[in-house]
Amino acid sequence: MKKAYGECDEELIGRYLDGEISQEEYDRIGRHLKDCPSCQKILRDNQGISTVFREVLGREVSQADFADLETRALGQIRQKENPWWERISKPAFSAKLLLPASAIAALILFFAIARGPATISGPSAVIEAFSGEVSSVMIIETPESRQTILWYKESS
Amino acid sequence: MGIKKTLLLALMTALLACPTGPIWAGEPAVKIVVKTILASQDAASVDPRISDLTRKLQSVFRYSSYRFISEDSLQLRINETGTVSLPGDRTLKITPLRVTESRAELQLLIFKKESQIIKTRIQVLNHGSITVGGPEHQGGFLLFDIFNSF
Repeated sequence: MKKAYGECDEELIGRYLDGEISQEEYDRIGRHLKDCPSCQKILRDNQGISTVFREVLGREVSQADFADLETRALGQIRQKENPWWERISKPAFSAKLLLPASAIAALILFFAIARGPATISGPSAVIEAFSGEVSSVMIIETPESRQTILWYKESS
Repeated sequence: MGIKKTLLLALMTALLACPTGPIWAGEPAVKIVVKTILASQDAASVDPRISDLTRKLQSVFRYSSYRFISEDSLQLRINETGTVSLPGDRTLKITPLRVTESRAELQLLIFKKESQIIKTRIQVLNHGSITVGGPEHQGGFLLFDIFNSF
């Protein structure tokens, strides 16, 4: 009732009903309402609407499963904010780790997939056992390439 | 797919592959290639298909000709036996017995007709070979270069 407390102000009555005014205003509006039937009607109408609204809201709220709603909402928020690859890659792909991790991955893949020729020195073959119907047998190793040769002469 | 996702997938793949060696690792298969060569004192000739081997052989033998006769490839699992036909009614039977980090252990049997001529067990370097030779054939000597990789 900025206009004057003797005049009617529907908005101020609404705030009066909602308790959104100071104690001083509350007392003044209270005094005005005693003598103003039109404001009394506005107050009653507002109270009726408020009552109906609270009843409907209370009924809906009592039927809602807030725990499930909260879980689903939080899940969707987390998923949008943080996809799986980002959750994994955030710690793994900091500036300091990105290059070393890539280099290690490349080395591991190289040795896992492309197992190249052995570089171990030694004869190309080691003969562990030999038997046969032969008149002679020789085991030769070539000087530099260390190629193993098994040479035998068949019995006539 | 972004670079980060690509690298992440590569890293995960590498980690999965790491404990088992090759990604496709299961029971190891040994690839065998047998080259048959006839060494003789005929007119000097060296087949380019066996030039590397010929160079090694020439360091210990004095044959003037190394003629490439045939090549056979086998893919054998452990304890699986493969057979290669050789000139002069000969047969070579190869069985991988086990695979270590750097060598394959092979059993070699050479038959002439029905008779077993030699039986040997060898350990050959991965991507290496053994040359078995000596049988006389058409005025020369047969050499069998048995290569393996796994």
